[in-house]
Amino acid sequence: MNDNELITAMRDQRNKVHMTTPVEQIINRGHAVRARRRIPGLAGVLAVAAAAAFAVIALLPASHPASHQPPAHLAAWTVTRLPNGDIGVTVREMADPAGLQSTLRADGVPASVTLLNLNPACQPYPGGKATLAPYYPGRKSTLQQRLQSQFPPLLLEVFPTPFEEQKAEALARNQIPLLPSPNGVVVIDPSALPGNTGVELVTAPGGSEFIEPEVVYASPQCTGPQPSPAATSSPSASPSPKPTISPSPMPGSPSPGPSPTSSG
Amino acid sequence: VGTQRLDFAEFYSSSKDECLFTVLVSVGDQDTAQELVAEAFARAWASWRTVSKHPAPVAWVVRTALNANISRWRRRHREVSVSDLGTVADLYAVDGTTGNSVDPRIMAALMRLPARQRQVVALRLFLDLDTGHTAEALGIAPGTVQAHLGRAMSALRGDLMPELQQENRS
Repeated sequence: MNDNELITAMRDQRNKVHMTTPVEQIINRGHAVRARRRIPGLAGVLAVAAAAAFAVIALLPASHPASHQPPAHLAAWTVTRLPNGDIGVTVREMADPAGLQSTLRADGVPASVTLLNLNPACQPYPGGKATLAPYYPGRKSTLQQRLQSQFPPLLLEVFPTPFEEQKAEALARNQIPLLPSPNGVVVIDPSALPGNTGVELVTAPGGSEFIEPEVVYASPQCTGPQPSPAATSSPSASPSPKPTISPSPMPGSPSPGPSPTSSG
Repeated sequence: VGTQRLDFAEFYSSSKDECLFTVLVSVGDQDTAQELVAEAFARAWASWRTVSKHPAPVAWVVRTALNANISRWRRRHREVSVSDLGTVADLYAVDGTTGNSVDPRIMAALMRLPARQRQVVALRLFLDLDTGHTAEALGIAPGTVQAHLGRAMSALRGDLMPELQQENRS
């Protein structure tokens, strides 16, 4: 008997164990896992939405009694200029990727936003993407080294949220995360983007946890035309502190005035 | 969503048994392996848009199952230790008392391997992953995969060949 016969004898054992759990049971469990992941984010979203709705009502003229105001509902996505100049993106439902892409570009962020599939025109920028299970050939790597590879410094600078939190959590748990799993909230620091680069966001309809940010080379086909200086001062993202999530007013309701928050 | 469901169902159907066997070789207990693999597939479905794009989704499932085993141990503060694994191996060697129909001699020989060697054997030989993907899934260097596989094969050869050759003669 040679090695091949030995390997064949061992491989034959694979056919002797059978997974008996029905696929429907797996899928139901998967839905529960997905719902559980959303609970903390949902609680935060609801709290901020409630605060934002209260703020909208408080700003209304006295001739519009609060009791007559239509209820606020959350937009599919929101882009907000944060006090430190970063851009906050919250995706709750990927209903209009083109709209989100235009808003980001109008706010001075060269961006490509696509549903599910990567934009083939975008070329990844070195160190601009979270990687899975890195390793260091030829030497033993420490957790810190592996985390450094999984979360390259550029990625942490450009997308402090969610990657800094994920790295801190991995350090606290002393375990490499299996796959980076952003939860629909991304903060972009445009000033950390190297020259001639932009951001690519890939997301999926109905599943905000799947948003995947990375740094890519800027090009007209990928991230659009170079933003002009005037575009970066778009009123859709003024530098004043604002709530990160705004409700979309119902038709007919008075506008609370120019907002630094864009929603879609 | 319907297409994704079909894709996932097909993926589950085609890979569940090999994932189960791979995890079984790592943890040594079929019931535990079933639970871990079921949980790992559920998580795969929960993140199917991401997992389906992974270059080796079965490796993702197996690694999730093995990570879940570690988390489970941390929560319960107990795990089958190395010495206990020896006992498990003896159980397989005596009469296959764990209730599955895997050849108890092969299972016992696999259980006697160090954990990392078992994982490498499981991923390389039973899951048919190449060296690169095995290294990626386990977070080790490709050269280390080769070294573990070489040592594991040497041990398995010494352990199993005399018995299997004897069986073939008779």
